[in-house]
Amino acid sequence: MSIRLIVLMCLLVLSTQGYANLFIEINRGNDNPAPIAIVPFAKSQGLPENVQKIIAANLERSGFFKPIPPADMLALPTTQEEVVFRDWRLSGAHFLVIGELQKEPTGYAVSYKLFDVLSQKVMHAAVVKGSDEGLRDISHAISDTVYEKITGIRGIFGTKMLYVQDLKRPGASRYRLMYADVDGARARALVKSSQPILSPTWSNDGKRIAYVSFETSRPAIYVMNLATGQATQMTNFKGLNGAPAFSPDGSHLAMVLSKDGSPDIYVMNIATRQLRRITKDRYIDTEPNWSVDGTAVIFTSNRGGSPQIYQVNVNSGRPERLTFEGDYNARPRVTPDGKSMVMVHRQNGVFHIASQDMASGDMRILTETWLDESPSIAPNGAMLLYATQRNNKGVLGAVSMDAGIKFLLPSGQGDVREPAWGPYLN
Amino acid sequence: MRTFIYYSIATLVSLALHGGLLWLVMSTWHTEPEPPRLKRPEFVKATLVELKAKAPKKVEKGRKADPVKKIDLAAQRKKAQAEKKRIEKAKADKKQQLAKQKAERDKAARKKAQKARQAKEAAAKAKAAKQKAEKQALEKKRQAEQAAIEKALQEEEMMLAQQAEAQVVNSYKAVIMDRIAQKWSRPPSARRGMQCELVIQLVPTGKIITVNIVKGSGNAAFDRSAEQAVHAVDQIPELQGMDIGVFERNFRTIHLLFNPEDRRL
Repeated sequence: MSIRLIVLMCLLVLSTQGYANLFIEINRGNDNPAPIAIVPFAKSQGLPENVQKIIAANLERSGFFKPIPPADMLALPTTQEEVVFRDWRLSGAHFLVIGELQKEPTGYAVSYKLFDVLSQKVMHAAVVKGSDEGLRDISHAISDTVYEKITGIRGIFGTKMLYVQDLKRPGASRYRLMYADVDGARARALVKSSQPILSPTWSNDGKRIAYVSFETSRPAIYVMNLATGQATQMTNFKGLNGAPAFSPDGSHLAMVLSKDGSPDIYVMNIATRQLRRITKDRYIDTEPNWSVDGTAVIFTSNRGGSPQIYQVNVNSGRPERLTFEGDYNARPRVTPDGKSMVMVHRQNGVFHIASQDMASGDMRILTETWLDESPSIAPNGAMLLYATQRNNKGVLGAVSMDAGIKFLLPSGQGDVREPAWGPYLN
Repeated sequence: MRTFIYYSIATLVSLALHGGLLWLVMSTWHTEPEPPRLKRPEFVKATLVELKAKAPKKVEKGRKADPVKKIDLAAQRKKAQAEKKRIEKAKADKKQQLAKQKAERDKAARKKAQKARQAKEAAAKAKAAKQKAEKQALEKKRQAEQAAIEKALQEEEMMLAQQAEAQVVNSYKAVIMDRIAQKWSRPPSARRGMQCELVIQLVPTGKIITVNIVKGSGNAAFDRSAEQAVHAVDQIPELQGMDIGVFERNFRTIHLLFNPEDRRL
């Protein structure tokens, strides 16, 4: 025992001596967008799309990157041999992307490399192929990979969004349900109508969408197969038919119907059209959204006097209030990890987008302009789209959930509103 | 259970060690309040010894010649001569006697004086010896005290030097922490609770020459952000002005723990 003691003491002394090295804890940081240089790819001139520009714009909008304009680059290398890390360090770049574009019999192939300039290492090298019209897809794919390699979060630049456009002039195509890249490009109308279109939403597999249209002169819920473009009318009840939401497994649709009096939450089996009433009260219950595991629906209700967010178990029907801060909380959307939700939150008469931690109930305001509404979260949970007003015009804004970086998407004519960020497509 | 016993022993031992060290520090610090560093006045009892002997008084008598009466020349001369002789003889005798007496007196006086002086000297000597012994003892005591003071002083100086170095090291630590934190840009996937430990090596110019991840967080992006922060700093110019000894002892190799406590998530 005494020998053990001595050994222990020796070890103790040794260990204290061995840790004589200075120990410094870095317990704070200075989160700045990472400076990244995306060098124009070889043989990418004179093409219908500027690949370099698309990638740089994507990364910049994420809020975590600061692309270096090509005009400020000291050299434009296209192969690893031409890369002089010292020069890139001088330009302030932390990361570097170079590449070469090859025209193939059908489409293009881009080989590219991502470098860590400060550690002087290759982080990633890959080849991306696309069709003749696929230069934007190639650009988004490269953006996604670069973003993921550097941030540790899957990129969302290759995903799609839906939104409603109102041209604000009477006509057969005044209201349009639009389908576009999340940078706003390649927008095309899925539905055109002289009557309002509302509440577009995605199924989790990204193959179907649901929306509300007034084209039959009263609101009805439609489900559209994106591949075929075929829309199916799901409801035709009297009164309100609105706010559809696909269950996580895509088999059910939560919705709001007022056929039995006040608006209540119902769940419909899409295959059998069987309807189940989830809430039954004399208050307004609306804007259902599924919990990640599909066992509960969260919704907005005015049962407490002011609009607040509640959660109801689909099987037991037992409701539980989730929000207590502010006199108005609506439009709940659960983040993909299920840990928090975003909502429209009113404070001092101003509407913001706020996020609330599901476990702790802590609320944080994400946007600070007024009249922000309709938040829709990106599938990676790092950003969200919302509708807002700019110069008396409805526009779409995006904000990074983490860094608070905000930007407005380029908008066309008329008002745009009710964005719905699509899921990953593969 | 075995490991638990080991740990408990280690904990106890370390506790005891720390306690002992603490006690040592406290006791040396408190029980010996620094004795006042005043030089004690050294008293030497000095007695003035008068060595000047009293000069004997010269007696001069009968120097003056008697008035000589010349009556009978021959007889008188003879008589006178005889008388003269006798007188002179008497005179001389007296003189001799006087001188002898005087010498004897002087001698006695001298002897007495000497005796007194000797006694006095002996006394003084004894006293001096005693004083000297006392002084020596005092001196010895003083020297011992002085040595103790000096030792304490030295220890204190060493401790002060160590404290001063620790202070210098801490201030440079803050500089390094600040410089790296300035450059640490975390990826959005970074979360509170992630930790990454790096070991960096520096040269006296403050240049960081090697960066190694010794313990990753499991999130490659997070670990890279830490490594990049150090690379982005590249050099800590403040270290240039540092004493080389302090540098070698503390800053050649540094452990860095990246711990994003300021993150919201």
